[in-house]
Amino acid sequence: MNHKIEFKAMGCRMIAIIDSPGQAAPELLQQVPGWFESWEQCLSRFRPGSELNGLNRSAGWPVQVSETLWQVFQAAVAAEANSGGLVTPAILGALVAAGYDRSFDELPREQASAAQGTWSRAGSLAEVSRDERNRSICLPADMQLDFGGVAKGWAAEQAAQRLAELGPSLVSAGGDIAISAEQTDGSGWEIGVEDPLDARACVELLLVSGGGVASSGTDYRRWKQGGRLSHHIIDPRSGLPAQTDVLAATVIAPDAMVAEMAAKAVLISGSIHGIEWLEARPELAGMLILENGERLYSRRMDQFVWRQS
Amino acid sequence: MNKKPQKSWGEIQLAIAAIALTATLAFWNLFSVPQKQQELAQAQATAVPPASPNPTETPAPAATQGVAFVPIKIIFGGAMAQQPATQGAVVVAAQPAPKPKHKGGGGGGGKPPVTTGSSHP
Repeated sequence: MNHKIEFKAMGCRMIAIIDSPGQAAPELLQQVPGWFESWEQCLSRFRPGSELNGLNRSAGWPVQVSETLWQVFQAAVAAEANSGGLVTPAILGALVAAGYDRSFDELPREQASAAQGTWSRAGSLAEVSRDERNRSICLPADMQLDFGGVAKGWAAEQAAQRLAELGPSLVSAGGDIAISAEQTDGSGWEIGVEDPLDARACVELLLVSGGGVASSGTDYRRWKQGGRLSHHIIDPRSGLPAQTDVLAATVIAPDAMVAEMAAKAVLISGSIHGIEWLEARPELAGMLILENGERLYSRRMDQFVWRQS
Repeated sequence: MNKKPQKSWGEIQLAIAAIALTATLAFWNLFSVPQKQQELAQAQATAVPPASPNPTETPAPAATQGVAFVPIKIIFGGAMAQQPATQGAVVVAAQPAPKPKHKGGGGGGGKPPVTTGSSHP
């Protein structure tokens, strides 16, 4: 029996589901918004009093951080390493220069012009000095972090693991999905892949038994700046919004953090390198929707796409 | 007595300079405004909407997003450049996508409860 809760957090719609017959499931689900609230207060760059903003303001000085921020930082380090540097949180300056300087709900969809003289290079976490023993992080003076999707993937994983003590669980943090195990009847979880041009519709139905699913796209979080379209996926190699022929990428991976990293890496890489990159990693499966309408699937995606037999 | 004509000549020079400056500004304004309008229109035209994921389907009526224009004032000439208050900018083709085929129950169509996409709120 599935129990479900929906709420808004981190600027996105959250869904948590437990497959459990017990009465404890609804009670545990009621706690999920509180978990996300505490994580958001720690990790959001849009909250002036967040711990992340405190760290960013203290760039140049070592700062002792909480267990939550430390874990997300470690997840970001892994994401940067596994994506060959394509997915990094050290892009906040570039993101703000591109016009994404407030939460997307408040962002004007048309900005008069590109902010002059505000171009900012994207950095690398390799430049950050850290001490694991006392959980301290020292950012370079010109670097600020934005955990973005890494934080969502991490939060989805954390919540799914906590809920799993009562039964198989699924947590979706704005489309970054963590699944603890297959449902009690042995079936996989149904996950729709949204149409990039119409979020009310889906282009595929996936059946996933565990791990993570995530999507990354330039289709929704985009705006016009100085008459040109801009979006929130920064290519660290240029420090600018990625120039890519991929409109949206969806990846299935062993966990939500890896799925989120992989979807973003594929999007930034473009369709040719993106598919090659996916095929070279046996733990991943993915699909790409291109700007020209074409859909590309990695070979392993066949295991997850539901087809009417 | 002789100083009076010298002063008049100075005033004439000042008047000529003022007229020349005014005329320059007026012509500048006259020619630059249409160019600015053209540049704005060109900037809008270059913002190509995203391609449809399934070009074979018939596109539904396009949804337009209103974008406010910055009015351009004509300093000399007394008229405001004719511009609409809003003008279509980002055009998104709202196209129906194939309905997902649910494995079972739920009426056999529609959207599944859990979806993945680009962080829609």
